[in-house]
Amino acid sequence: MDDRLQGLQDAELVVLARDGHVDAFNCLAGRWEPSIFRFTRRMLGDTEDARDVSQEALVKAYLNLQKLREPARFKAWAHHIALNLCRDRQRSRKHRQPSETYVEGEPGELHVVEGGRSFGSPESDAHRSGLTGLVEEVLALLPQEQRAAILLREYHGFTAEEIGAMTDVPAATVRTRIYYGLRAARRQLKERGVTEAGLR
Amino acid sequence: MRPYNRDKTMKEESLDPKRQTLIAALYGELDAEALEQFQASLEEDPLLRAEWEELREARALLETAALNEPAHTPEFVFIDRSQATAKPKRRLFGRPLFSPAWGFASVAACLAILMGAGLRMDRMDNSLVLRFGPAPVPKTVATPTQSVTPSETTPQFNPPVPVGGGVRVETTAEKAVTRDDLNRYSTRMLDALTQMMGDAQERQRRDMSYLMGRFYEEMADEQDRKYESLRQRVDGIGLGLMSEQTRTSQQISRLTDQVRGTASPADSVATPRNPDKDKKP
Repeated sequence: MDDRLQGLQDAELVVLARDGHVDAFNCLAGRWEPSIFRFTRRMLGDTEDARDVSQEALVKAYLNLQKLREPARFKAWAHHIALNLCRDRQRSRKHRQPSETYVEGEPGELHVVEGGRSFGSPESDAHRSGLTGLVEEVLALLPQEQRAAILLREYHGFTAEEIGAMTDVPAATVRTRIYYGLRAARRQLKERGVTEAGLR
Repeated sequence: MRPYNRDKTMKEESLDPKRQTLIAALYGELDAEALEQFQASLEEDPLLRAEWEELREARALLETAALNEPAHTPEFVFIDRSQATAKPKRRLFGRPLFSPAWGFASVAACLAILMGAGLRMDRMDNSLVLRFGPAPVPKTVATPTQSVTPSETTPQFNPPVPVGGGVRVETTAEKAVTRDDLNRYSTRMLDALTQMMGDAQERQRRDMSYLMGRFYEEMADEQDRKYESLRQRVDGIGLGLMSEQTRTSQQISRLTDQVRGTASPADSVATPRNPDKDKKP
C-alpha cells in the first residue's frame, strides 16, 4: 500500500476511494477495522461473529461510499453500519431462540442466554478469566441500546451527539442510556466483588 | 435460579438536568465555567456526589478491563482485480524484456558475431548469397585458358577455382576483418533484411488485395446470378398469373354467355372439352 495514503485524512481517502482508488479504501479499512471489530465483538460476544460482521460492515461501506454525505465522518458512518448489522444479527438470534433470559445461580454459574448465544458459557468468547471477562459479562446484561451507547462513548471516543446521530435519538437520550447503563454495570460488578479498591 | 427482569433495574427515565450535566462532566464535555458550577453542586448535593463516585468507579473499571484486551490485527483488504490480474512486464535496462526492439537487436548481434566469424554476404546473379570462407566465382563463360577438370561435371559445393591465373579470391585467413568491415556488413545485412521484410509485406498486401478483389467479384457474380434467377422466376410466375387470369376471364365470359343463352361453342376454348361427350351415338 502506498505510504503516502497513510498520511491522508479520512475525508481525502474517501474522495480517492470514490474515484476507484482501492488502496485508499484499504487504508481506511486498516485504520478503522480494529475499532469496528472490537465494537462488534463487545456487542455480540463472539469473535467469529464479530469478524464476519466487521468485514460485512466494511464491504457495505465500500459499496455505499457514494452515499456518504460527509466524508470526514467515515468513522462514525462505518460504526453505524456495524451497529445496524449487530442489531440484525441479534434479531436473527432471537428468532432462533425467542426468549432472552438471564439466569442467576450460584456464583460462578452465571450465564446469560441471549438469542441462543450464551455469554459466559464455555463456548463463548466472553468466558474469559479476570476483569475483562467479568466486564464483558456485565455489559452483555445491559439492554442493547445502553450497551451500544456505553461502548461507543467509552471505548470508541464518540460524543453523545455523534451516538445520537447514529441511533436516531437526541444526545440527552444517549446520556440517559449511559447513566443507567453505567450504574447497572457498576452494581453488577460490585455484586461479583469487583470494585476499584479491590483492584489496587 | 430466578428469571431476571431487566426492566426493574435498567429502565430508562428521562434524566433531570443535573444528571445530564453529571454525564457530560464524567466524559469531560463541560467547559470551564460549567465545570465549576457542577463542582459547586457536587459540594452541595451529597446524593449527586455519591452518584458521581459510582459512575466514575464504573468508568475506571471499564477502562481497566480494556487494558487487558488482546490486540486485533487488521485483516480486511480489498483486491483491485484490474491490478491483480495484470502481471508486470519484466524489464531490462528500462525496456520490456520481450519486445520487437530487443528481438531486432538480438538478430543484429547474432549477425555481427557470425560476420566476425567469417560469414560473408555477396550479391550473385541478382540474389544474395551467404557464405563462410572464400567467395564463389561468378558464373562466367568458359574460356580456352581455363582448365577443365573432371570435377566440373559433378555437382559440388565449392566452385571451381582456376588453377594458375584467373580470379584471385581473398579468404578470411588472408585478410583480417576490421571494425569497418563489420559495420559495413551489418549495415548491408540490415538493409537486406529491411528490404526483405518490406518486400514480404508488399507481397502480402498485394496478395490480400488480390484475394479481396476476387472475393468481391465472386460475391458480385453470385449476387447477379441469384438476382437473375429470381427475376426469371418472378417473370415466370407473372406470366403464369397473366395466363391464368386470361383463362379465368374467358371462363367467366363463357359462363355468363351460357347463363344468358347466347353462348356459342366457339367461345368455350378455355375449357378442354371431352370429345366423347359430344359424340352422338
